Amino acid sequence: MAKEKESSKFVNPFEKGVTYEQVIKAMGSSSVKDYLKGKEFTDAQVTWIENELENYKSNNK
Amino acid sequence: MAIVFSGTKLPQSELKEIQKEIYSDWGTFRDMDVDIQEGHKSGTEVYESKVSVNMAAYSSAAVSAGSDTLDVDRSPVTLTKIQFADTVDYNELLDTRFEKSMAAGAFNTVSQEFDNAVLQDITPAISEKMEDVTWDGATTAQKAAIAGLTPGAPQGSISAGAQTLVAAMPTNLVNSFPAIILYNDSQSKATPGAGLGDYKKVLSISAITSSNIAAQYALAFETLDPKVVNKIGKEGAPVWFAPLSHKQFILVANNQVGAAQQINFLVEGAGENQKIYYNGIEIKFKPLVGFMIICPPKYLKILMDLAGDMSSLETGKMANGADQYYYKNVQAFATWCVNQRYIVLYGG
Repeated sequence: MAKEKESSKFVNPFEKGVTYEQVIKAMGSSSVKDYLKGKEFTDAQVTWIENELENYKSNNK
Repeated sequence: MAIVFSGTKLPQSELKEIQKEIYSDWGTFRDMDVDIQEGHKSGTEVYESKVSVNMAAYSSAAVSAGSDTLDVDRSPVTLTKIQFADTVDYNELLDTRFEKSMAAGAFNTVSQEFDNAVLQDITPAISEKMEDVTWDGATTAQKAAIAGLTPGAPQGSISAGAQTLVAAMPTNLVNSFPAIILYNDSQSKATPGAGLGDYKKVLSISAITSSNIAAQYALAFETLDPKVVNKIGKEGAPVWFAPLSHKQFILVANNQVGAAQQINFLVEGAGENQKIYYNGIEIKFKPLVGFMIICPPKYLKILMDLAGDMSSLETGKMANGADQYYYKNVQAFATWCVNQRYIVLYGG
């Protein structure tokens, strides 16, 4: 039960010290839009994180 | 009897003018758009200082050691010695128009017309190249160091977009300003030593077009430290260094077809004297790719032995009877940045 709680904890990509690796792990199979939905992020912020994660995945192929 | 001609027919006229390439000069060195420091042959030391004071309740007793800090940091910077050099074999010009300007005598192959029309473009081409490497490009080592950083969204981490841009940069012998701002071993950073620069990152950016350029510039402007904003219009005012294409985007944005004119950017004058400002900050267009830099220009340093080395060319005949000539240009060069916490790097 504790392990399930840990993995469902929201990881705010804009929080200091948070890395993209942590965000991707926390997202699981969700899209960025779905993961950040209802969390008071602007469309520009969501689009930027989408692009950033695309760049991150491409840079780490 | 019809005329019978044997042999190859050749054109008997030519256009006198040889059309030349355009060699760009974006003013970095000519107008000293950044702080160019001369007199450094191989390496130098850059000092930065910072004073922090603490308020305490009054005491009439003798002053004792407190917790104020008078910080001075020293960062060694190594210059890279570079050259532009090659050989010229005028024999390649035989059987061309340039043969006409060679003096009589089999030893004489130097073509005056070729020297005037082509060879003299070497120094403008060098200047253009130096402008390019100042604003775009990184060394192999710098590229690897930046690729090895852990990216993230918040301040204090490099963006994945910046890593992509650096990976796509030309690999040069020297680092451009964006490359050195992103990663350096300054002792004046919050965490001294080799690592991510202390620049201010603009969050939530998107690819710039004429439609969104004003909004993107607003994001960058809002990221500036208030101390820097306070210097606008005063001594030590910040300058906005933007990619060349932004000039066209700005002019289109300011003159939208079929819509009320949106004056987001102040455009003064025309042609060579044209100046463009955003919220009082002059924009200077440089061969940047994907990045913008906003800061007082004295925070961006170019270290050289002699700025005039850029336009100095040694020429001569090769040794040991070779019928060839050489040209050589030598420079010492490095970029550096200071007061990094006051530099906004859009795209970083």
